[in-house]
Formats: sequence, structure tokens, C-alpha cells
Amino acid sequence: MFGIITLISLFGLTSALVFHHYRRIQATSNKKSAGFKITDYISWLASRIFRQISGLSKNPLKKRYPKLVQKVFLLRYPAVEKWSIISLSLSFIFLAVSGFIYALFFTQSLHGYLLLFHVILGGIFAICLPLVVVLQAPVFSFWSEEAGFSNKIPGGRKRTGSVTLIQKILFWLFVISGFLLILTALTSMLPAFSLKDQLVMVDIHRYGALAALLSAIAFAYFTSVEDGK
Amino acid sequence: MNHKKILSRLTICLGALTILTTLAAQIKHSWDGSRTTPVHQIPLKDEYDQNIFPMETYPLPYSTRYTCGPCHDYEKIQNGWHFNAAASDKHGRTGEPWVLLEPKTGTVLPLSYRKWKGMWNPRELGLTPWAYTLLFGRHMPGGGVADPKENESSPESRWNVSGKIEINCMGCHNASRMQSHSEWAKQVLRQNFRWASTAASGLGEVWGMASRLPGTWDIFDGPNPDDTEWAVVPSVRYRPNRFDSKFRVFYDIADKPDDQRCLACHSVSPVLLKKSSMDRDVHSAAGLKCVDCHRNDISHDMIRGYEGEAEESQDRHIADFSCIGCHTGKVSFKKSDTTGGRLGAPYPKHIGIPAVHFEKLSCTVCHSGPLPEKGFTRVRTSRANRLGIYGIAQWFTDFPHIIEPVFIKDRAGKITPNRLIWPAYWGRLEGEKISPLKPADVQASANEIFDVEEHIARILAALLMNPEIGGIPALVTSGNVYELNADGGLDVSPYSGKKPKTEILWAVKKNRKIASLVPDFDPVAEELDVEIETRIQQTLEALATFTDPPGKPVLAYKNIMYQVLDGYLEVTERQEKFVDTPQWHWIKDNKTQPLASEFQIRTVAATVGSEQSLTEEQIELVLKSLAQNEKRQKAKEEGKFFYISGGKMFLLDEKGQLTAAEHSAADPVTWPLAHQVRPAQQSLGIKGCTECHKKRSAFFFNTVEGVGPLKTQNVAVRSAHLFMRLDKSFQKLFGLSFSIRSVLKVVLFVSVLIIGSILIIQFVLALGRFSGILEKRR
Repeated sequence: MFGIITLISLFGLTSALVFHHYRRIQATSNKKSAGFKITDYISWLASRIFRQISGLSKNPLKKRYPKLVQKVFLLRYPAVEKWSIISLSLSFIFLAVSGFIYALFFTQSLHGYLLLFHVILGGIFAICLPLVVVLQAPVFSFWSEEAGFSNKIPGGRKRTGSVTLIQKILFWLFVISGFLLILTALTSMLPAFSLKDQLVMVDIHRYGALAALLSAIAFAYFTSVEDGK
Repeated sequence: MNHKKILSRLTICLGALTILTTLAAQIKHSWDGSRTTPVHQIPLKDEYDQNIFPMETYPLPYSTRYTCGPCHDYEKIQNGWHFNAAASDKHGRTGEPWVLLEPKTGTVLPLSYRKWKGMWNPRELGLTPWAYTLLFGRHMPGGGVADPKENESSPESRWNVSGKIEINCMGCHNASRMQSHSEWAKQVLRQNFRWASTAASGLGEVWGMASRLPGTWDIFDGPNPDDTEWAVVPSVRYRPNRFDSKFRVFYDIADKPDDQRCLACHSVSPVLLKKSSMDRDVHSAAGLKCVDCHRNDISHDMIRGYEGEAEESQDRHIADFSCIGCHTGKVSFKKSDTTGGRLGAPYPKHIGIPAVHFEKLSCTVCHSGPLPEKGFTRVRTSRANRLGIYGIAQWFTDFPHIIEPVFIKDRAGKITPNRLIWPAYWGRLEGEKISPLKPADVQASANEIFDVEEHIARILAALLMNPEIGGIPALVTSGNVYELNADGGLDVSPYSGKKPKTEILWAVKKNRKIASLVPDFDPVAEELDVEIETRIQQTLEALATFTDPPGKPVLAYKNIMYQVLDGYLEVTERQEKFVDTPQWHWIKDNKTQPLASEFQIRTVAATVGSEQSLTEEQIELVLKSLAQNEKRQKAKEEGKFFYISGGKMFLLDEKGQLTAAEHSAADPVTWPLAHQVRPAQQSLGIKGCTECHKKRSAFFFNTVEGVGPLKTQNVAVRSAHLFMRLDKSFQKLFGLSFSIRSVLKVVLFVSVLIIGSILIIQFVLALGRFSGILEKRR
């Protein structure tokens, strides 16, 4: 069941983001007035996929990598903030890949060396997430001014760029999901919950991971969109 | 009346008869709904379906087929689990094998008619139903193999003398304390098969031994008035007070058999545990009977109660009687909840145990058998070690060496605790094909190599024939004293006296003191002391009683030889080499040889008093003997003889020397254990994760050493993780990770605290914003 929900939601999110991208392109090229036609959308999608594939073959990922790294690694942040975000991102990618591979493609639950690394990187995730939340809360808070949060980074320099509402929502969605992930990991290690509770916690952990994954993908998309402006 | 009318009426009559018979049969099988057990005041019938009258001169034993059969469908019962091993294609989860134990040839061979891994089908070994029944009938419930059809008899069988063993209904259902398993075993060993059930149930006393009767004897021949001492025909004397005036007998029947009846054949207990320290199974202590879970209907198709049995037998109802089914009301821990727990079975909370454990482990891993931290526990089982048979002789055996709990990944990929034995047997290897040899065939091929202990024991027994010996004859060698025991074998004790002049001393033990058979004397003296002369003569005469001796007994001392000729002690001077201590020999064709060869002394010194009964030297000699015999018989088959013991296969190499090799045929044989079940407070893991997950975990890294009848250093050693098919380094690393688990918990806790606080702040801010408090403050 979880596998089906995961696949459907991933497909839904990807479709929604692609559609959003299409509409955005339409808007920038002043085609909005022409209205939405499904045939246009499909032909755009097909050409886009074809261009992406052919583009990849001409311009392999290796060459694109530095650009991607530059975007993702947020070089404008100070070291602590930068490395905590990098560590958080990398650990989350590993946790998501290792967790979802087993949830989607195997009947057995995560085990062996992968489980061991999942636990270790889970620890790194648990260290980095609060750091990122503390450092980024002023940026992503809906009410940072009311709360008196400073918008300055260490050194007195003001933060650059703006954060949209959707990014804020996705950021806090990721934080809440991450919180649930860490909480359920902690509680499953405590001798306090029965098997029934444990099974509920496993489900919370899984769906928390799905929510975190979806919000992370959407967040990455909107961040790249905002950076591109 | 015309023919048509007659025919139609006949057809109607036949039809009605068929319907009535069918209905009667249905009535016979069906339960009327009453939950009481009917009083069994019934007439006894013999195997010819004739009523038994106890005052008859030679009444026959009762037959269950005809006594119980009229109300209970005997044919249907015969297909039940306890009786259908040889006939059924239902095998189910591996169960305990029957172990063919033959100490002299060092055979420990697990057998089963069911297709279970590592176990040999008795048919492959050439064991006929007759031989099988003689070997294992002591703990068989009758029926099946022990009750063969007419066309299943083999040349060596004596079914016509012994009778067949019908299903022993009372073996399980007798609620009387008169039911004696020991009596059953004794009657079976005496080949009194048809009498065994009568004797064991306490209905009557059985006399005589069918095993001593000639093969031509038949039940209709009746007793032999000329022989009341040796070949006494078996007969039964019924207890008259058990019969009423209508010659009916009251059977105290337990519809649900008592545990004692089950335990007669299914007891398992640790070897070193005192009876007073033995705990009952938690279910038994809670008041449940074995059959409350291991149920059956008239088909006697027992519920074995393991996970997956319901799927295998395609009967969902059975799932209720596995651990999970009974305690949770579910088929598996993951499937949806139904009704919880039968018979008040507590619902397990399993607090703090990660759910993955229930995917990978069966319930019995934590709840059954001894705890692994104490290492492997050696146990004896009723069927393998002949427990529960009491009498003057000691019936139980130390071998086979069974250990538990060995955790093994089962067919479903779940780890389950198992019992384990190492097989030991002689066989022939042809390419990949393994064929075990019958112990009797091996022994016939190399009898003198196996009969070492017996040879020494027979010498000591012969010496005992000297009425003036004044003590117990003994052999002193290798710092030990060997004496004859009641079973015709040897007992060993350490020698504490003065070091004897010779390495091998035939002696006499009197008041715990060891003395030479003949006091020291000077053989070259002019005249020999009369007392010594008499002593020598008596000893030589006693030795002459040795059955089938290799020669005539003589005493050689220095260059003098003494032997008894025509009732007189004759002294002869010999040119042979000088011996400075008196030595007893056999002489034949003017050649002398010691009473026991150096090989025999060496072997006895190595094996007597030890659990191992064979030496590598014996194995080498037997393998050579087997090969030579085959050459003599000019057998065309190509192949090698081998002996398996302790997890290794022993073969002769090209130079004719003994070598040990790995082979799957030497692998241990295992079967899952289910009992004793321990309560939750005593389960594995109750003290925390590190009971199993640590660097030097007994659960993962206990080592099993091969054990067998062969005294050798060449044994297989296996770590527990191999049986579970787990990666050793991962388990070490994973176990090690538990030493920093507390740090991880702190990290996670702090993380939860920080993120939680920030989320609460955000929530409070949202509340402030929406309630307008923040606006007012501004």
C-alpha cells in the first residue's frame, strides 16, 4: 500500500511541477493569453523530454555538474550554515534512497549494511536538521519580523535573495516531517512502546519520509526557479 | 413372482442396505455434540474379532482394531500423523528423526520415512518394517510400519510369531496410572508384539518371549507344555477383577490424552539438569494440556502448531494453534487483527522490541529452549536416547549427542531454534552418490576390529571362572584399571598402586588392592611353590574357558613356559627370547601371542571410559578390511568406503592412509524445537538488546563442535552465524554499534528537543498573529 501511495504521489508531484514549469514558460513568453491546450502541453512535454535526452548525450552530467553543485551548495552562506545544509542534503538523499528502495522494491524491510549506514546517516541528519532549522528559521519564518528574528548572517552581512510563501511552506513541511522521522527513530529505540505502537511508529516514519521527500523535491524545484529569476 | 419383480426387489434391498451402511458409517464417525466422554464399558475382542473370556486357558491378547474399531474408524485413524510416516506424502516441517544407534560400529544415523533434510529413508538403508519395528517399536504408537500388510513381510521377519503391532490406542488414551510405557517397550523387545498393548495397559500380565520361539510357531500352536523355562510361549493372564459379569471391561479413557502419555515418547531434558530443577513448560504450568494446542479429530491428523502449517495443509483453522495464532488471533504479526488469543492466551506487548525481529525470528527463538548465553545445552530425548523405560537394566543411552538451541534460518527465511546431532555412519561413495552401509554388514566385515572391548571383557570373564581367584580380575595398563561390568563391557578407574613391572598387567583386585594373578616367583628355581603352581594351573584352566580362543593359554616367564596338558601343569624350557615378568599368552602351532594384542590394549585404553568408542586406527583398519572384502567378492562397483563422524568424512587416500575431508553428507542434522516454552520474564532479550547484539554475542557466535563416536581431533567447527546464514563481520559491527547507541539516543533526543522548540515557537507566533496579540504588542 505504502509503495503504491509513494509511486502515485511521486508521479503526481512530478506532473504538477512539470505542468507548473510549462505554465511559467508560457507566462514568460507571453503566451498566457492563448489559453491552455492539452495538445500543446503534450507536444511541449514530448519535445522537452527529447531535448533533455539529446542534451544529456551531448552535454553529459559531468559537464553540467559544476553548475548544479554551485546551485545546490549555496556558496553564498557561511561555512557552518553551508556545510550543515550540504550534510543535511547528502544524508537525506542517502536516507531516502536506501529507505525507499526497500519500501518499493523489496518485501523485506531495510537490513544489513544498508541499515547500518541508514542509522549512521540518520544520526548525521539528526545533527544537521536542527542546525539548519535554527540558522534558517529567520529566513523561512512566516513572522520573523514580529518575532524579532534577525535577517543578518554572522559578520553583519544581510541575507540576499527572497523566499516565496511556497518555499516557506515547503521548508516547514520538511522540518515537520524531519521532526517526525527523528522522533519515531528515537522512540523505537526506547523500551517503552509495544509492538502495536512500534508498527504505528514504523508507518509514521515511512509516511514522514514520504512527506519529507515530496517537500524536498518541491522545495528544490521552487528554489531553482527562484534562483533562475 | 416373475424374475423382473424379484430383480427389482433385490435391487431395492441392496440399495437400502448400501444407504444404511453409509448412514451407519456416518454415525460411527460423527460427534453428537455432547462434551462428555462416554463410559467405555466394552467387551474385549481378539485379533480374530472374537470375544475374550478371561477364564479361558489360553486367551488371546485384545485387539484394538476389533475392540475400539466398532465405534472409532480404525482405518481413518491409521492415516493419522502418528501412524502414516511411511505411507503419507505429507511431510510438513522437519521433525525429530529416529536415530539408528549402534555403538560398536559407531553408527548414529538419523532416519525418517518422511522426506526431511539430512535424514535417511529406512528403505534406502535396507531396513525392513520388521527390523525398523524391532529397533524403534519401543517408542512407536503401533500401526503404520509396525502393522504391515500381508504382502509387506520380508524373509527375516517373524510377524507370524510376534503378531503385528496394531495401533496402541491406550498408549495415549488410557487415563489409568496402570498404563506402563516400560512394559510396552519390554514386550516389543521380546517380540511379543500382539501382546504389548494388553500388557502395557495393565489389563493383564504377559508371560513368555516370542523372540525365543522358532520361526515356525503360530498363534494357533498355543503354549508348549514341554518348555516352561526358556522358549516360553507368550500368554496373557487377564486380571479377573477388570471384567464385569458380562465380560466387559471398564476402560478409563481420556478423550484428551494426559501429558504423561505424550511425554512417554516426547520428553526432552538437559543431561546435567536435576529432576528437581526441571521446570514445566509455561503452558503446562498454566493448566493447558499438550492436546489443547496439538489437537486432532477422528482422523488423528495432529496439529503440529508451527507457522506456515495452515498454508501447507490449506486449512486456515490450523493457524489458530500456532504461537501467533493463539496469542494474537492473527495469522502473522503484520496481518490485520481478528479475535485476540484463545484459551486466555495473553496478548504479547513486546515492549521496546523493533518490529523487524518479528519478520526475522520465530517466537521460539526468544521463548523456547535454553538461553544461548550458557552455550549449547546437551539434551536427551525419549526416542533418541531411549528415555522413560525403567527396569533392572539401564535403558537410556548417552549417545546420540543432541544439543540445543542451534538457531537456523528455516524454509520461510525465519530463524528458529533447533536441536542438532552429528551423524556417524559407514558408507560408500560413488561419484556424488552416498550409500550408507548397514551396521551389521560393516561388523560382519571387520568383527575383530570392533570387538576389542568385548575381547578384553571376555578374558576377564574367563579369569572369573577361577574359583580361587580371590577377587575381581582386572587389567592394569596406561595408569588405569579395567574391570568387567554388569553389561559385559569394561569399567575404568585410575590406578593408584605401585607402578607395575610390566605395561600390561593381568591382575586381581581385592579390597581395592591390585595384585598380579600369580605372586612373584623364580621360574628357574629347582622346585616351584605348590601354591603358585596351583594358582598358575587354575588361571590357565580358567583362561581355557574363553570361547573360541585363538590358541591354548600359557604362562611365559623368563625362558620357562607353563601350560596345562591332560589336567597337569607342564613346564617346558624354551629357546625363545627372555621375558623378565610373567606373561600370559595364547599358543597355537608353537607360536605365541599375548592374551590381548597391543592394538586391542591401545584401543581399550583410548576408548573405555570415554564417550567415543572408536579410534582412528580402527577406522583405518575397517576401511581397509571393507575394501579387501570387496576385492575378494570381485565387486564391480567403483567407489570408496568412508566413515563419517564429527562432521568429517574419513577415507583412505592413495597411500592407504586415513584422511579427513569435508562433505555435505557429514553435515549435522537439525530439527526445530518448540518446547520448553519460557514465560515472557525469562525470554531472550528481556535484559536488553545487548543480550544478542554485542561483539562477542553467544547468540551469533557460539561455536558448535562436531561430536561422534570417533576419538579424533579432526572435527568440524561451525559458528552459530553460519547456521543463520548471516554475515559475521556485519553482525560484529552491528553488535559494536550498540556500544554507541546511547550516544545516538542523546543526539536524537537533543535534535527532537531543538526542532520541537522551534516548531512550538512558530506555532505560538501563528497563534499570536491570528489572535492579534502580536499586533497589539507592536
